[in-house]
Amino acid sequence: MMLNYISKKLFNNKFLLQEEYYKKLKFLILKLFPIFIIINLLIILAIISPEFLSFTNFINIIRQTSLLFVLSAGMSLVILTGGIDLSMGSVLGLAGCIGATLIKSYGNLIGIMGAMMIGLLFGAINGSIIFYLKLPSFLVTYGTLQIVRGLAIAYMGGNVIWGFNQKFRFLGAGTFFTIPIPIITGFIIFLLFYLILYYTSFGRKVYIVGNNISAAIHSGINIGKTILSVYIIAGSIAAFCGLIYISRLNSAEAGLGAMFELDAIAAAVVGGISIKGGSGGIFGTVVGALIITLIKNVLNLLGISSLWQPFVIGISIVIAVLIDQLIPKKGGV
Amino acid sequence: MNKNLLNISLPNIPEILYVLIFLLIILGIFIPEFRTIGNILNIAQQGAVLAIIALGSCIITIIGGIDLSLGAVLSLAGMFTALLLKENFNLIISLMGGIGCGLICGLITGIIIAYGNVPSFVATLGMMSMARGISLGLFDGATISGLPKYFRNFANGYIGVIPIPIVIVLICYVILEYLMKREKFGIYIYALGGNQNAARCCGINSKILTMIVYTIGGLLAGIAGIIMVSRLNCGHPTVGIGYEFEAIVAVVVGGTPLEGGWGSLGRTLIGVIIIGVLKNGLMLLGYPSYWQMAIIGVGVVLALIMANMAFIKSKEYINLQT
Repeated sequence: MMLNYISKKLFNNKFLLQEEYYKKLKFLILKLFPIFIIINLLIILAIISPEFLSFTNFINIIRQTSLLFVLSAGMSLVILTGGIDLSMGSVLGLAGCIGATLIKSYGNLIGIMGAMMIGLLFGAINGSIIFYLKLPSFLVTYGTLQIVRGLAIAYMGGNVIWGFNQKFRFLGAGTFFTIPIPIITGFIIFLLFYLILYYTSFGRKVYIVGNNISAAIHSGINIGKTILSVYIIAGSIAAFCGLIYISRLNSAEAGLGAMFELDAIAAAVVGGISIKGGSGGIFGTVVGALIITLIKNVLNLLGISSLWQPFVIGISIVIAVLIDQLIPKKGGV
Repeated sequence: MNKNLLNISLPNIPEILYVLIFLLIILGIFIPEFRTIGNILNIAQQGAVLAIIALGSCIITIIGGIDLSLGAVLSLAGMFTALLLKENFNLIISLMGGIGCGLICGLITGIIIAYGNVPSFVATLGMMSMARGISLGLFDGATISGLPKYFRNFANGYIGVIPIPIVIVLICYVILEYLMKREKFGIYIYALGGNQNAARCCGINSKILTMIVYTIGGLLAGIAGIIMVSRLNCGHPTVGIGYEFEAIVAVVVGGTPLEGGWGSLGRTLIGVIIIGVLKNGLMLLGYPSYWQMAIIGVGVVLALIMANMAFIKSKEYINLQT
């Protein structure tokens, strides 16, 4: 009786068959799973340490979340089209290094432009190889990962560049009315991606290409343009993140951004973006980035070495993808 | 007419072998150090680890999957063996421990892929991260050194004139080749890679078979990890980075399409030798290791493009025939 009442309230007063009802309930529970994890993590953190509830720690967590979110937003866009970009961490490193040298010798504007050009270039290379040669995206981007990391090490030759001017430092370490700039950047990127994904034809095309590529071709969508732009956006986002990181750390070295792509994938996948493409949303990525940051915070507060972090990231990717398999897809049986 | 002449003049051996012979001749002419027997034995010993990994990667590619976790599993298994030896366990138990460690990692990957319906690259990416995290975290990022002397002789020794790692590679190759060519298992694997639905309709238990294939991959990674530790005489947590990539390169250079359904272990071994020779040549010419990484990265993209062209061509050929 009670269940019937709840089901009527929840699902628009429609009469539901028993099976359909359970299916909907399962869908709802699995969709709410990330929020459940966040609440649990918050409770654990609050119990472990009293400092967690302080304002500084709060701002700190939000800042880390927005840094991860910016990278993960680019990754989400790629995963929504059914691909993956493993080269983001390396592109971040190379763009950071080249940006740093250019800033040192030619000034801020040229440095930022140069770094963004690197991101654009490698995004375009990834996208065109994947689209025109019809190769699997994870393999192509894994190849570019190795190449770009090799280039970064060759370019830097083991040097570390440090000490940027105050204006550039503002990008990563500055504050605006006590709110750190990365948080504002993250918020702007969120709004931008939200508008692009839900209110432009490009965003809709991204979803269709991920959902059913042959349907996309038959409805006259230029899939080449869509795929190419998605990888170019991912590359530019990676380069932009590289600039934020070197500005925040006040130094750049060739190892910058190693394994960051795994964090970005974990945030996107935990946030409910299906690895097969076409379902999920940018708000989920925010939630995913928050979960990954909170998990890392728990590990730190428990005194577990940061060397364990890859293990936790790996296990959260696998669990998130397994859960995603259980969710019945919209329109599917 | 011309085509026929070409067919007669070339004996029926894999095309990839011509590339290898060409490479050997070029390097042999231009680098005097390359020609020495010591160097050739060195290439063979260095290539043994990669060869064992590549055999596993080849079978996984034949069923249409991919394994990005092999390098990380290799270092984890090696670390585990080193730890057992350091704790004064018996040699046999330590070796079994290392191989078992790889086997369990492979089994977990296989279960996730077969029963969780997870795409193989995500599952193995997760496993790569997990194995890397365990081998870094469990031993605090430290190197395990000071292993007993008899273990060191294991990979640096010889049987007659052949180095022991090469013997192990040959044993693995013969067993796998037998399984793939003379047993039902191999036929099932080719069928599964060719068309999974058709294979399932024919009564092949695709899930168990997928699981077994990834387990074999993990087991081979365990063996490779032991050889690696024995050669280096220490267990290091970041030792296998990039090995899975080189293994995939070897498989692709050996002509196995990533779509699966076709491929040969022998050609994969030739691919491994090509990579080994290329790396050795670059090293002798004085290129540092990061350039080797970049050159091999470019190489795989080129090999993939060529393989893809050939695949498209063969499809067109089939279309013309029917």
